[in-house]
Amino acid sequence: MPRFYLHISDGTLFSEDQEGSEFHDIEAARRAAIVGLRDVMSAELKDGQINMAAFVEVEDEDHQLVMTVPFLDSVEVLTKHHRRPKK
Amino acid sequence: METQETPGQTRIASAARSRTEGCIRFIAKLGAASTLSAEDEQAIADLCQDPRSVPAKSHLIREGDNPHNVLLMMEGWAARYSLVSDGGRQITAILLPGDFCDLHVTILGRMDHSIIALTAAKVAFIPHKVMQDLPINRPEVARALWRATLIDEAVLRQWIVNIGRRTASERIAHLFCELHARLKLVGLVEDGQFDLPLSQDVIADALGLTNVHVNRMLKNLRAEGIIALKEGELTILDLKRLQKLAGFDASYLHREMLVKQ
Repeated sequence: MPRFYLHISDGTLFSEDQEGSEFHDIEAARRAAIVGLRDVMSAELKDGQINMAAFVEVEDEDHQLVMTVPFLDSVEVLTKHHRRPKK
Repeated sequence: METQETPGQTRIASAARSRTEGCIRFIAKLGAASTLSAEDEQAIADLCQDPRSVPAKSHLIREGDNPHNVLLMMEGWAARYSLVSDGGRQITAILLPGDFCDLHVTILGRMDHSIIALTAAKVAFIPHKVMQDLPINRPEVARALWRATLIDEAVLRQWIVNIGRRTASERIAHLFCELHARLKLVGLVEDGQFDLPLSQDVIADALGLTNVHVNRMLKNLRAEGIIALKEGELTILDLKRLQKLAGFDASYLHREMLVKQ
């Protein structure tokens, strides 16, 4: 299985993935980037802060950048709300 | 840095030279908390005979298997895990040299989880019958094994606390503190440094995190100067800060029994 490196930038720092992980294909690596971003961001959210500019860079085995996944592409942001029903 | 010799190391030094390192480690671990006679130690050494070599990433036993032997890690690391329906893996224990993989598993008859070797390993396969006879023939050894089982349960409790209530960085810090303490007991820590043959994926699966999150938190610990991690070797640069971050209290490992000796 090919190895991909998933580097994350979350505003506080850029964290280089020196080890990488094996994925079935590039789509699986993209999926891991999305799930990883959501995981890191939800932890930040619990601490009361969130950086919307966070992203994950995906590099292939040769350390060539193959995609960048912005945090905002990993979630759907909704602003709609529901009013209290009238009595 | 602690320069004092640990009871484990003392045991290792005093054990017979002819026994394999793995066997000596196991005696050190069990003997650390008990008063074993020379005959008891020999009975333990007999348990460790003829370990089989197991390649990395191979299964020692799988969920659903009918276990006929009790497995004892002589060398190398293994992980106990269960899978969930989407294919996700939760590691529920990291097994180190000198650890049993389920002391009483043969009583249950069917494995409810799998155990995989994380590194090349040497594993002793002890027939159920031998384990059954041990309390009769060597009660002190049986007591030492029972104690080891209780401590394994205490470790599992701490893992639940870790995953359920600690933040990602606290979880990693706690895991490292625990591995440090457990490896020290079997003489595998030198100047705060030890082999850490765990990939990010394994750490993630042990802590209920994603590998991206693990990478991020490891970066934090490095940037803060608390640990150094290079080529599978972990150096704890500041144990006090790591323990503080983790809220680590080693009492669940019941090492106080060592002092009684």
